[in-house]
Amino acid sequence: MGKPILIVDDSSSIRQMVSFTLKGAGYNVIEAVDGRDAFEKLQGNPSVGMIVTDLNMPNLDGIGLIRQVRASSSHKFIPIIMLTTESQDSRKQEGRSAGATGWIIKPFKPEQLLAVVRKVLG
Amino acid sequence: MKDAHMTAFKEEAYELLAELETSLLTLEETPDDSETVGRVFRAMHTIKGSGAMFGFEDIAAFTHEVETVFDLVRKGEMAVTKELINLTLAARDRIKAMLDGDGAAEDPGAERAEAIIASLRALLPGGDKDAHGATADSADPRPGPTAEDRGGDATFIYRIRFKPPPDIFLCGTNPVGLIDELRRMGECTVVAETDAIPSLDELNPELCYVYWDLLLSTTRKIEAIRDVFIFVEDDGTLKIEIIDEGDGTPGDYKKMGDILVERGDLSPEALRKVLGRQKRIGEMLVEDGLTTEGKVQSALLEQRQVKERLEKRQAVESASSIRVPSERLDTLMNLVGELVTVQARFSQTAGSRKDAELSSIAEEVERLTWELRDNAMNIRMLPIGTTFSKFKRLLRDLSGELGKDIELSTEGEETELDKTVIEKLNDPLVHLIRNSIDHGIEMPDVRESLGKPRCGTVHLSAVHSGANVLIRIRDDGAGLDKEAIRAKAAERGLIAPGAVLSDKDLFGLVLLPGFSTAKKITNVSGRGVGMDVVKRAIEALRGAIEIDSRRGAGTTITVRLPLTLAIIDGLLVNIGEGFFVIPLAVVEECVELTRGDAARSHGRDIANVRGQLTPYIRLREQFVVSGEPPPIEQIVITEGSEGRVGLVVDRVVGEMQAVIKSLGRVYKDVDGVSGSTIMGDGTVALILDVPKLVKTAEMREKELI
Amino acid sequence: MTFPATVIAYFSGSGVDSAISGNTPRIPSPGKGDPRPVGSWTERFRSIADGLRSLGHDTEGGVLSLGAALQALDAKAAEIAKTAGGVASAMSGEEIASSIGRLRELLDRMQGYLSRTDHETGLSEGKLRGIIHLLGGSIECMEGFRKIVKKLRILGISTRIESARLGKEGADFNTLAEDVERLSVLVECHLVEILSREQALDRLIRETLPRVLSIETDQRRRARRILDDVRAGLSTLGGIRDKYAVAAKIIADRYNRVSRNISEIIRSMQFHDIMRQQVEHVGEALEELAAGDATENGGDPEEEADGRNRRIIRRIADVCELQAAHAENARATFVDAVSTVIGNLREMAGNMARILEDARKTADDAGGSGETVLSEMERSLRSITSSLEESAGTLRKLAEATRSVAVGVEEMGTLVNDIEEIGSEVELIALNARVKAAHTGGDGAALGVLAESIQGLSKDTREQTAKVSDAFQAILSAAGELRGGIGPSGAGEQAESGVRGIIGDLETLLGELHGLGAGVESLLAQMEVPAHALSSDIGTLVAGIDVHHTVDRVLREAATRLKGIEREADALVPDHDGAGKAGNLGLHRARYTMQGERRVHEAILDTAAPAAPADHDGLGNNVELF
Repeated sequence: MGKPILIVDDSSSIRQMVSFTLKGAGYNVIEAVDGRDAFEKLQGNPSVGMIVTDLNMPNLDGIGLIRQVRASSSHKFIPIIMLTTESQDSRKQEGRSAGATGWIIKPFKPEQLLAVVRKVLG
Repeated sequence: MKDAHMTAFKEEAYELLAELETSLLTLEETPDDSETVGRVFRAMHTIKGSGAMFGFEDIAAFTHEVETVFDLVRKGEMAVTKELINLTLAARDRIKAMLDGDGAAEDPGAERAEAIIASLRALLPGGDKDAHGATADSADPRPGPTAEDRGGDATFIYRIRFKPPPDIFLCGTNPVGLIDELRRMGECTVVAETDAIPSLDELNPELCYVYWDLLLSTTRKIEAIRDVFIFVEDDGTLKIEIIDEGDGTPGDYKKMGDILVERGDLSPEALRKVLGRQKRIGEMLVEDGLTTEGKVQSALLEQRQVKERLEKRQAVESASSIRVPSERLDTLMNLVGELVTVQARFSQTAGSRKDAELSSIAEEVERLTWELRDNAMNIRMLPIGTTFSKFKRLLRDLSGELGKDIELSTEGEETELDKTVIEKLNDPLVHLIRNSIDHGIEMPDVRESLGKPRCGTVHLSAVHSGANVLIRIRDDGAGLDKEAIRAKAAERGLIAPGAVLSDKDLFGLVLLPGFSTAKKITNVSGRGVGMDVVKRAIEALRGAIEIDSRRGAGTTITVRLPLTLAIIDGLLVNIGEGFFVIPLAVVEECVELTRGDAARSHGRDIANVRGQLTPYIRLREQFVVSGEPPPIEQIVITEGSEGRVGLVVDRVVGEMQAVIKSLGRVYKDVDGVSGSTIMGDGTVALILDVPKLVKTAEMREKELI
Repeated sequence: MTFPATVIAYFSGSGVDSAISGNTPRIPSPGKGDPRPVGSWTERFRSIADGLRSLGHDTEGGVLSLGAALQALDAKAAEIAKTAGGVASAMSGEEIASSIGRLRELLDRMQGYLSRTDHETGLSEGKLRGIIHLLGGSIECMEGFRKIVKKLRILGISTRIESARLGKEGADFNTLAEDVERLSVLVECHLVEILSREQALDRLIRETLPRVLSIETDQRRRARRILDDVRAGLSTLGGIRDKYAVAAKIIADRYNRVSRNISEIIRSMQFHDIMRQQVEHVGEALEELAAGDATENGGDPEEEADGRNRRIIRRIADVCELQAAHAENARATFVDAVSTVIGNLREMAGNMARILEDARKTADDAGGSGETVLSEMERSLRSITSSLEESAGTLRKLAEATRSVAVGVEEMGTLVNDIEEIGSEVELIALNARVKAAHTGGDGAALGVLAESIQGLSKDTREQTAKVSDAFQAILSAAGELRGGIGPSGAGEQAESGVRGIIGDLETLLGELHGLGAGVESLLAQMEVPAHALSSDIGTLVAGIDVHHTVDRVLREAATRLKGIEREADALVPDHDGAGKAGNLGLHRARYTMQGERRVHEAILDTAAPAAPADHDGLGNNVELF
C-alpha cells in the first residue's frame, strides 16, 4: 500500500516495534541502522514517501540525515519525522530548523505513530 | 458472501446500464419526455446507491456527477441537449468499463472519467463553478467527521486565508494536501493567490510563494479546520473567519467592495475613493471638456420638456372613433364565442348546484355575456348602404350599354349586416341586378308601348326581419315567363311534363344548375353560369333565395340572410370520439340504421326510409374515423338542393345553437366542413357543409365507377 | 550507542593515565580529607561501568525475540478474532437477517394471501348482497317503465288522431305514431322478460349466500392460527440473531482490548532502548569519575590542597548519589515496563480465551436450543402448509359457488342493451317530432304540443333508462368482479400455485437454517485449536521472560555499590548544607536528553520539574509537528 516508509534507528528493538506498528497498518517499511545507511537506502529507493528517524546514531545522526536529505535533489521535500528519546526544546528547535516535519518522543504509542504517518503521508 | 453480493450488484448494474442506454436513445428522439428522464435518473441513482454499498466508491462517485445533472433535467432546470446525451452515453460506457475493471486501483480510464465530469459540469446552469470540490465532497472514502467535531446540522461558511511559510516544502509538508483535507470537509472553493510570486529571476523554485483563499461550507467546527493546519500554524499565516453561521437568517449578500474591505484586502478609505469616482454622465462630460455646463443644463431641460410633452400627448390621444384591423375583431369574436361556451357550462353547473347565490351570479354572467356577444357582433356590423351605392354605378354603366333607361332606388341603406356577409353578398347581388337590367327591364320603347314609364325602376331594399335580413331586388320589368320556364324545365328533364307546381316551386326551377332562359347570350348575363351560382353563394351564407314575379309587372327576388354568420341552429351528432353539427335547416328527420338494414341494401349505401329509397353517406368513412361503429347507427335525413341524402352517424345527440368559429388553416381544405364550434364541455365539433359533402361523396362514387 | 571519544576527552582534564595510576591529589589534612579511598573508588567505578556497559547489548537479544514472538501472537490473535467475529456475524449478520427478512416476507405473503382470500370472501358476500339489493332497485325501475309504456300508448293514439285531422300535411306524423306504438309493445315485452329473469337470479343468490358465509368463518379461524405459528418462528429466529449480534459486539470489544494490549506492549518494549541509553549515561558518568577530576579545570589555583580534596570527595559522593538514582530509576522503569508487557500478555491471553468462550457460549446458547428451535419451526411450517392447502380448497369451493351466480347475472347483460336501445329510440322519435313540427310551421301547432310531450317522455325514458341501465351495469360489474376475483379458472388455481410456492420457499429456508447452524459449528471448531495454542504460547512466552531479572539484578547491584561509595565519601566529607551539590552535578545536566533523566536529576537537586507541555494537537504530548 502506497509508498514505503524508511525507518532509521540504531536500536534493533525500536526498529522492530516501529516496523511492527507500521506493517500492521499496511505500510511497507524499509529499515536502516543509522543516518548513513538511511541516506544510501534512500538513494536506492526513490519511491520512499516518508522517513521516521532516530536522533542519536553512529556515523550520521538524525539531524545530519535531515540536512543531507534536504540538500539532496531526489527527496528534498519528503516528510521526515524524528522519533527520539530526546525532549529538549533546543534539540527540537535544531531539528525543526534542519527541516524536520515532526518530533515524536519515545516511547510512542502505536496509534500515535500511525496518526502522524497518516497525516503526513496524506 | 460478499462476493455473491458483488456479483449480484454487477448483474444489476449491467442491466441498468443497458436500460440506461435505451432510455438515452429514446430521450434523444423525445427530449421532453419526462418519464424517460425519470428512468435515466433512477437508473443512475440505483447504480450510485448500490455501488457505494458494495464498495465501488469510484463508480458511485462518478455516477453521482451524472445523476446530479439529470436531477436538474428532471426538475426542469436544464434541457436535454444532444451534447448532454452524448456525454451521458460516454459516462455510461465509462461506468461499464469501471465495472469490467472490477474497481482496480490503477485505472487507465480515470482521466477520461474526469474529462466527462468536467464537460458535464460545464453544462450545468452557471457553468463550471468548482471543478473539484463536488467530487471530493461526494467521493470522500474516509470516515466522516466524528460526532464531537461536527457542528450539528448547521452549515457554516468559513473564509480561510492560508499563507504557508515560504520554506514549507523543506519541512516535508505539502500544502496541497492540507487544502485537499479541507475539501473533504464540505463544499469548498479554492482561489490561489499568486500576487506574491516574484519575477522569474528572483524566483526560488523551492519556495512557496502562493497563498490560498478558501471558502468552505461545512458542518464542522472551526477547531477541526484549525487542526488541519497544525503543522504550519506557527510559521505561516492562517486566518479563519465564519462568514455565515448557517442559522437560517438570510443575510444580505454583500457588495464586492464590502467583501474586499472585510477581508482586509482593501481599506475602507480606498473603497470610498474609488466609488467617489463614479459620476453622472453630464459631470463626466463637462469634466473632460467635451461640453459646457450650460449645454448640459439645456440638455436636461430638453429632456424634461420632452417627457412632459409625451405625457400630455398620451392624454389627448383618446379619440372618438378608431380604426381596428379586422383580424382583431375576428379574435374578439372567437373569444366571445369561447366565453359564450364557457358561460353555458357555468350556467349548467350552477343550475345543478341548487345554490341560490351561485345561480344569481350565473344569471348575471349570462346577461353580461349575451350583452357582450351582441356588442361584439355589433362591432362587426356594417350598414349595407355602402354596397348599394356601388350598384348605382353599375346600373348607370349597364343601362347605357344596353340603351335602356333605368333608375335605381334604394331603401334601408342603414340596415346593418355582418361584415363578412356583406362582402360575400356583393357578387350575387351584382348578378341579380344584372339579370334585372338585362332580362327584366324592357327597352324604353317597349315599355312605352306597354304603357309603362320609359324609365324602368330597380328597387333595392334591405330590412330586418327577426334574426334575418331581407334584401329585395324589385324591378318593374317584364316578369318571368312561367310557360317558358315550364317548357325548358321539362326539356331539361327537371320536371315531369304536366307536373303540378306552385308558383314558388316553378320559379325555384330557375335557380337550378344549367337552367337559363335567356334567348341569346349577352355580355351581361346568360354566360352559362346561371342563377344556380347565385343560389349556391346565398346558401353558403346560410341564406335562402326566393323569386316572385308577375308577367308584365315585374320580378321581386328576395334574399333572406341570417344577421350573422356567427351562430347557427344545428343538430349535434357524434361519430366515434368526434362531434359534428349539421345545420338544422337541412335536416328532415332521423332514423336508425341497424346492421341488418345495412346488410339488406347489398353493399349499396341506400336505405329504405319509410318506403322511399334514400342514398346515404357514412360520415365515419367520409372523415376516416377509426374504430368500429356501434351496432345501431342513426341516419340524419337531409333535404337540400341535391335531394334527399342520409348522413350516417353513430348517434344523434340533439339540437344546439352553435357559435361558429372559423377553422384554422389545417382544416381549410377539408371538404364538407364549413366551420367549427366549441361545445359546453369544451369539446370541438365540426360544422358540416352538407351540399359540399354530398357533392364530394358523389364525385367519389363516380370515380369508383 | 558507544561512548563517544569526544565525551571522554571533554571530561579528562588531567589525563587518563594519572587517574588510572591512582595519582590522586594530595590531601594535606588527614582525617578530614584522606585521599586514599579515591583510588579504590576509581577501580570500583570502572568495574561498575564495565558491568553496565554490556547490559543493553546482552539483554537486547531477549527483547528482540520477545518482540518477534509478539508479532506472531498478534497475527494469530487477529486471525482468531476474525474467525470468532465471523461466527457471530454469520449468525447475526446478513444470512440470518436475510432469513428473517425472507420469513417476514413469507409472512407478508401469507398475510397478503389470507387477507386477499378474506377480502375476496368478504367481497363476494358484499357483492352478492349488493346484487340482491340492486335487483330490488331495478325491479322498482321497471315499474317506472310501465308508466312510460302507458304514456307511449296514449301518445301513439293522440298522434294518430292529430295526423288524421291534418290530412296530407300530417302524413309524416302518421309514421311517428306508428313508431310510438311499436315502441310501446317492445318495451312491454322486455319488461316481462327482465322481471322473470330478475326473480330467478334473486332466488339463486339467496341460496348461494349462506354457503359462502360458512366457508368464510372457517377460513378466518385457520388464518389466525397460521399467522400465529409463523410469528412465533420469526421471533425465535430474531432472538437467535439478537444473541449473536450481542456476541459479535462483545467479541469486537474484546478484540479491541487485545489491540490495546498489543499497543501497550509495543509502547513498553521501547523502554529497553530507553533503559539502555540511561544506563549508558550512568556508565559515561562513572567512566568520567574513574578518568579523573573533571572539576580541576574549573578549580581555583589558590585553593588549598585539602579543600580541593574535600571538594573532590564531596563531588564523588554527589555524583554517586545521582548515578545510583539513575540506575535505580532505569531499573524501576524497565522492570515496570516488562511487567506491563507481561501483564498485557496475560490479559491478552485472557481476552483471547474469553473470545473463544463467548463464541462457544453463544453458539451453544443459540445452537443448543437451535435444534429445538428449528424443529419447532418445522412443525409450524408443516401446519402452515396444511392450513394453506385447506384454504386453497375452500377457495375453490367458493369459486364454484359464485360462478353460477355470475353466469346468471351475465345472461342478463343483453337485456341491458335492449333497455338502452329503447331509450335512444324514444329520443330519436322525440327529435324527429320536433324537427317535423318545426318544418310544418303554423299548421303543425298541435303536433308541436305532441312533439313536446314526446320530448318530455323521452326525457323520462332517458332518466328511467339511465336508472335501469345503471342498476344493470352495477349488477353486471358486480357479477364480473365476482367472476374475475374467484372465477373458476382464476383464483382457485392461483391460490393453489401460490400456496405451493410458499411451501417450497419455507422448505428452502429451513434447509438454509440447518446449513447455517452447521457452518457455525465448523467455524467454532476451526478456531478452537489455534485459540488454545495461543493461550499456551502466551503462557510459555511469559514464563520465558527473564530479561527484566537480569536488568534488575545488574542495576540493583550497580546502585547498591554506588550508594556504598557515596556513603564512604559522605563519611569522609559530610554534606552539611548541600550547597555544593548543584555545582557538582551541574555539568551532568547536559547529558540528560530524556525527560525522565532530567526528572531524576532535578529530584536529587530538589528543583521542581517543569510542567508537561499541553497536548495541543491531539496526537499526545510526546508528539509535535512543526
